[in-house]
Amino acid sequence: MINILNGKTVHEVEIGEKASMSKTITETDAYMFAALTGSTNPLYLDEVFASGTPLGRRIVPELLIASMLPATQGNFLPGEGNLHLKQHLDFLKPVFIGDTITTEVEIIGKDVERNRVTIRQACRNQDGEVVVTGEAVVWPKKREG
Amino acid sequence: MRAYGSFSDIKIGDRLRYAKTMTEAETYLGVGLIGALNPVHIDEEYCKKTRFKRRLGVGLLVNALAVSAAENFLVGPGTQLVSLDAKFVAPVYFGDTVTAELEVIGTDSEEQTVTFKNTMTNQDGNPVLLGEFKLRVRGESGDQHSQRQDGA
Repeated sequence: MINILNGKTVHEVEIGEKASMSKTITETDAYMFAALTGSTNPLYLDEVFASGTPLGRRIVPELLIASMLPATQGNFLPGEGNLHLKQHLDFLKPVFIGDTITTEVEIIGKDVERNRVTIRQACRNQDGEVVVTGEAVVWPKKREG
Repeated sequence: MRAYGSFSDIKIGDRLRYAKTMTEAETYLGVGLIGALNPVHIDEEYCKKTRFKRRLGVGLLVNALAVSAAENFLVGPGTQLVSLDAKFVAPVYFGDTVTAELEVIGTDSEEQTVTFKNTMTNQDGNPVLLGEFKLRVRGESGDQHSQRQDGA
């Protein structure tokens, strides 16, 4: 049986280690995220409005895409039990309904003394274009006992 | 509170306050949408063994409230997020009422962007999230929507 409770400690993560996950973003995802966050942004919700902008059609809420990055960290690297301390994000390109987004997170620094790990992050679409970049600092779980 | 229609109405120092009681449902729907399995958000028994003792909200979902508030009240309609910085300084628990206090700290008429300082506190007045974010605004001269309607 695969145990998802396999989060790494600051001692166990290695610089250069990477993890990723992919998801095709549906209209339902975009609409539920807008509803959850109280957004009425017509770029997310109004096809007529969005088609009158240079974007041409509705886009997906940016923070839905960016939230896949801490999800990747919590699922895989450093994994279960890590806590998100700090985040920087740049949104470089719009994401459209139906796009398949692949995250990539890479350990680029660790501070054993303060139990902190620095992670470089990116999201790409199905054409390989980078849509989001970021950098996070997380607090990996401590060793059991 | 006033709703802004266009970029030129936005002034440095403009403020907005918006509060929401964060529910278990938001976290559960949110982690489903983003595919997050971290037990710190969804496993009460796991959390009992952590220093926080309870399940925690998701930081970027908490931050999203502030972004939505800015989009809805300050610079709508039709904004795009350009960049964001956040420090998650304390946990948000289910049932906490989080207040976002937003202040316009920068505008750029060429880029048509507005930068907000974002201070989020819980019902006890303790900060939970401190950060900034930048939104690109559509409207007036930068409003490709109305240009398109008028011209093409």
